[in-house]
Amino acid sequence: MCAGAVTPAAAQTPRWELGIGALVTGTESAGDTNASLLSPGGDSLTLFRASHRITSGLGLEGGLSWRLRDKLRAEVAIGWLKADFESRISGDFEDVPDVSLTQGVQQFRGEVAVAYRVLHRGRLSAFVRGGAGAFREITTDQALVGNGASASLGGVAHFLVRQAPSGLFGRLAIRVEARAVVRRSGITFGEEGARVSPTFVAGLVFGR
Amino acid sequence: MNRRVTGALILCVLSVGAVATTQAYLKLGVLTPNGVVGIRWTRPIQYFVTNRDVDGVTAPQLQATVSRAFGTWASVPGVTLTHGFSGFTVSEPFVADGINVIGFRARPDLQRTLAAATFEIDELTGQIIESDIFFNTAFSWSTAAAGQAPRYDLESVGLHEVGHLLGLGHSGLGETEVTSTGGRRVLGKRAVMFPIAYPAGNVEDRTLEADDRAGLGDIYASGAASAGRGAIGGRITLGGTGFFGAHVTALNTRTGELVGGFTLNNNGEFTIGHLTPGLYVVRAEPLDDADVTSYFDEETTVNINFRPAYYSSLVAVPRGGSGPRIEIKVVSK
Repeated sequence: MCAGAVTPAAAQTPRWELGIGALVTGTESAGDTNASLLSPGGDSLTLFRASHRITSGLGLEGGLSWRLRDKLRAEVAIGWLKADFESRISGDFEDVPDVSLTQGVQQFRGEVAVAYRVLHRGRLSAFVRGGAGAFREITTDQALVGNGASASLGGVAHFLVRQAPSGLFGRLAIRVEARAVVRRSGITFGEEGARVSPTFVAGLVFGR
Repeated sequence: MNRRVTGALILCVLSVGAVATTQAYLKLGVLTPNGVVGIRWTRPIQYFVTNRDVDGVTAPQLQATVSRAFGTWASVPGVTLTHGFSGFTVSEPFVADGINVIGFRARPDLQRTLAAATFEIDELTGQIIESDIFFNTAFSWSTAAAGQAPRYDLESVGLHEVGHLLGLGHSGLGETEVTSTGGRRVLGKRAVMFPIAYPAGNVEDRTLEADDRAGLGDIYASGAASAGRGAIGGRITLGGTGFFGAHVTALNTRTGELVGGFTLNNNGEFTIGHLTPGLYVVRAEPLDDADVTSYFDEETTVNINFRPAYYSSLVAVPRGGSGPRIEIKVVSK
């Protein structure tokens, strides 16, 4: 149960919380691909080089969390974000100027996670959070669809803004989160294995 | 009674023939009253091999080499090809006798032609009725496993010619330079079906490349295999107008596979099929690394007076279909 004070000193985290926030992902390098011919000597003759990355993405994330134990919470989150696959073309054999080519991608993601409170000081609470989930990526032209799995580990900070003594949404806090998200599969440039991208979420949580 | 047309395709610089081309890689086609129809075998391919030994290659070695070439093409995933050796023969290739004959001939007049394939085709259906291959004894040949300069590798050239026999035209995936004798030297290539051979002694062309596999798959892959593949289609335009004969290459950013195609009508339209799904870089360039007649009829007008250019976006190729059609706008040189 939450305490009814503005600056609670309760040992327990809130019974439940509902949150929404902006989601930002970091840029991921995604390797290189050379368009190459085979020369008579067995060497490669490069027609052009393509250096790939997935640009920083922007989206929304919503979630529901509830208390399992005093400091332990379970969370379910769903999110959407938009980013670009980008290939930087260089070194063209016939001197075509360097150019960047992109294809937009939308990602829909879902995750279940647990969060453990490691700090509670005044209005501020801090958690470590780990989760696992799945995602679906669709290119902007809707031609290509890929599914994948993800796992994340990070930290969450809650800053309590308001704590009303009653009411369904009596508790309001600012939530800021940083995660390292490990993804596998989905639409790829050919990167082998898992890909890691930093992810940041900032928003509001309501609860009691 | 079906009308028939005979054409010829020749490896190395020169190609001649009345066979039209259709779609990418190229696939060979024939012009019918209903438009261009791709040529293909619709029955098992039974072939004879000439029973003469030549310098460096016995008849059994030729037969074994041809058999390996057929086997290499037949191993393309998703493709069903039935082929078989019918026996040795005294018949000559390039004679319309109702049987498929593969063998050596002396053609010193064809100074730059290593080998060639001819067809007899049902002009209404595109069915191949007969096809012969000859290897020119004006050149010396070898079947040595690691190659034997200055002899040309029979299996490499044979693989190319069997590709023609199966219905493939020439690929544009190569870069060349003109030599002092007026011929062309390969700087690099990425298709067995490129019209100019590696130098004598080289055996790199014993292995099919993605472009070769895509071309054959486009003709012979089963429905299930084709359903797992995708395509890129669109136009190449110069000043807003499409044109014939631009070479279009697609690079799969995941696998690094290169597959090429051509614009094959005056609207500048192209299709590259049987692609591995994924994101592609698409580039258009003039067809200037081999004689245009290696690809198209002599009467065909091909524009090579434009600068290479990339499509402005990455192209997503889905499984079993294609994304939105693209347009690459090029400018004159």
